[in-house]
Amino acid sequence: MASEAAIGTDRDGAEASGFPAGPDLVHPGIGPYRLAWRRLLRNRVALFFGGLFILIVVLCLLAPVYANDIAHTGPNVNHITDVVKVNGKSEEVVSSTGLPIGPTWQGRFLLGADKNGRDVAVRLLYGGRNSLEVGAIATLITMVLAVIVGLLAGYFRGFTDGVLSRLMDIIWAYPALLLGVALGVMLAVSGINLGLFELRGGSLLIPALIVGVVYIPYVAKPIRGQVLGLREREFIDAARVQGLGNLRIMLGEILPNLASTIIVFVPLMLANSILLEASLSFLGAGVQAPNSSWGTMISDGTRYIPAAIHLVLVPGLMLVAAVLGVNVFGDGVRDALDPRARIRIER
Amino acid sequence: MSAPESPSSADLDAPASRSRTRTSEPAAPRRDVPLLEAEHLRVLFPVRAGVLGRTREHVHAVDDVTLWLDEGETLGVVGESGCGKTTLIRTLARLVAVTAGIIRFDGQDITRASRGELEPVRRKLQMVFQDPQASLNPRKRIGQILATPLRQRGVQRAEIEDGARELLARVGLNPEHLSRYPHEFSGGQRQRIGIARALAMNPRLIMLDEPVSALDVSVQAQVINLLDELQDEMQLSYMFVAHDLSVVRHVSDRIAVMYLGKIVESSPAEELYTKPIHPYTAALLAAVPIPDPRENRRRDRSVVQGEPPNPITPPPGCRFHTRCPRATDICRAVEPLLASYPSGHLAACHHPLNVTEAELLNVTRSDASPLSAGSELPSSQGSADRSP
Repeated sequence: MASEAAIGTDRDGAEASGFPAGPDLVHPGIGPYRLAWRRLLRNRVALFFGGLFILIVVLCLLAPVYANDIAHTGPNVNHITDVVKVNGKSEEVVSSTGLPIGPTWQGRFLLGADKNGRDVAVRLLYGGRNSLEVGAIATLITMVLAVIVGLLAGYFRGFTDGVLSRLMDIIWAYPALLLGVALGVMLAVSGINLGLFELRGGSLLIPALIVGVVYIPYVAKPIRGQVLGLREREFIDAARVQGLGNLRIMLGEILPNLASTIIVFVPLMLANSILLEASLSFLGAGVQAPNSSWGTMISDGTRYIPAAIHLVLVPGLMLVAAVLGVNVFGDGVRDALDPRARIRIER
Repeated sequence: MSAPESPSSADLDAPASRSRTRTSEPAAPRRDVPLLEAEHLRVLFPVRAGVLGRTREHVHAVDDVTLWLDEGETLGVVGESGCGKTTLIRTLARLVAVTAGIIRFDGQDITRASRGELEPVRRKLQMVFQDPQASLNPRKRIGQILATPLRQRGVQRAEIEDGARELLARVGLNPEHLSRYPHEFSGGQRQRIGIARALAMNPRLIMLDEPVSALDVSVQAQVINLLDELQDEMQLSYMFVAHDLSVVRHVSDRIAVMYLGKIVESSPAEELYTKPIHPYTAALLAAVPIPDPRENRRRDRSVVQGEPPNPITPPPGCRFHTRCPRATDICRAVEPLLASYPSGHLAACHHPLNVTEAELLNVTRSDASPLSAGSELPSSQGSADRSP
């Protein structure tokens, strides 16, 4: 078969100078990311959980629509004295004994009310927005700073590495939750004022900043290790022989090789950040009232167990679904990008 | 090294007497300044130990090496693994810091030149690496890999793609493969890309660090032929490092043999094979396999035993004495100088092989000798008991 022979020459026969000229034989190169994307598309479980997370994100983004058009209330509106009709019967939103109504499975108070007569479903979606927002900003802070620290420490080694790595060790020496609580208690209410840089107490950026900083070493260390290995590869020598400077080698040669690690860390850090934010908020060191987040809702609800268990169950299940979704999806992304990689987050 | 000294030993010490070793081109323009030159080059790597990381000892990777390379010439460098040949070539390309000595490119001292000062030199001095897989960034398309040096050279943005296509065609690859990634090529193809990348700078000298040792034998020949063609087309000079004498033989005009950080012998290429002077060179030649097993078995093998000594504490005197079958007391005490024999042949041995009494009488100390070498000229006592 002439055509097959021709393909054979084209493949390994670099060596030959007479390659077939047929343009149809030269397919464009398939890059590592295209291959990873194909592997990810074959992983149904990862796609399902990724879809679950996206669904939660979309629902939370639609919170105002739900509040205005279906529940006809806001996240911070009290209905302590209201009466709502359930299956034709009138029921008090908050009973005379102070017990809030359970799920009604209809437009108003779909998932019940809390002790102030606020709609749990509305608060759940608005709280989800805060939880996801804090998680996303924290992940962004972690990734940007960790990549910078890891690149500098791994590339320059020596003194720079010593200073940066010891700095990371200081953060790492404290358990993440404990450090987060300590910083949160200190900063969440009073705010941060560094002259030019000022955050008022109660701002969502404060818990995001705390969570983001606490997790930097968990990403910076593995990236530093990878850079230490990459800088010894021959293609770095090749770049140096071409006269490229340190900055261009770091950004142009090393960073593209870190991309898959970074992509793998994003969903994993997102899950961890959402969890840490929930823990901080649960302990009162995260999102501050009247803002809600899944963590604060669980915290508020614990006092009404077991009579009004929905106050804890609803945000708890939402938190589990979101974290599980992003975690399983993240595992799938890791498997797709490098089937042999074993990047694990040490906890 | 292989100081191409003129046959007449009278004016050997005058540097101006260096002449081109290629005897077949008498009309070639004489250059007084070699393209690349190293004088008493030393590279020591500190071995740090203890909590404070104090340097207690050094690895003597390259220890007082003097060599030069003329325009259009190919210098082969051979030696066992760990003898410092890769460090030498990486140092000459200014990838490794120099401990002592001088490197000159085209007469200009580049030993401690900064990155900015090196830029014009980088364009003329390029390098091809040993592992074609590791020397190409796996996350970049071939087009991007070739575009970087073209941009460095100042090629206009619009002409970069054409330039890259031309380079691929020049090294025998399909120019349509610009959009592919390194993992989509075979080893031989990858090494061709590595060569294309070096050519992109339009260099005068290419340092080849074992460019074919990672390839199949059949592909080795193709890559070597390609290098040969490119040298003729573009008037390139090569410095070719290999651990295999048979590969170097085909490409080199001169060959330098390294042992434990020092150059022990250098000579015009053919002469090294027909008339090795240093016992180590003879041992290396004896280790080259002959394709015919019967002939292979029949030949006399003066096999050198054991491993090279530790380069942290190199043996005193001649570094080869621990393994040399001809070693005597003087070898253990005095470091041999590089003696110049006729036709630009240099060897650092107290008891040389394949030398006549007449040649021994006319031997002189070469400029390329290590500074620490003794003043004793080679004697014939070692060669006297040589079996006929």
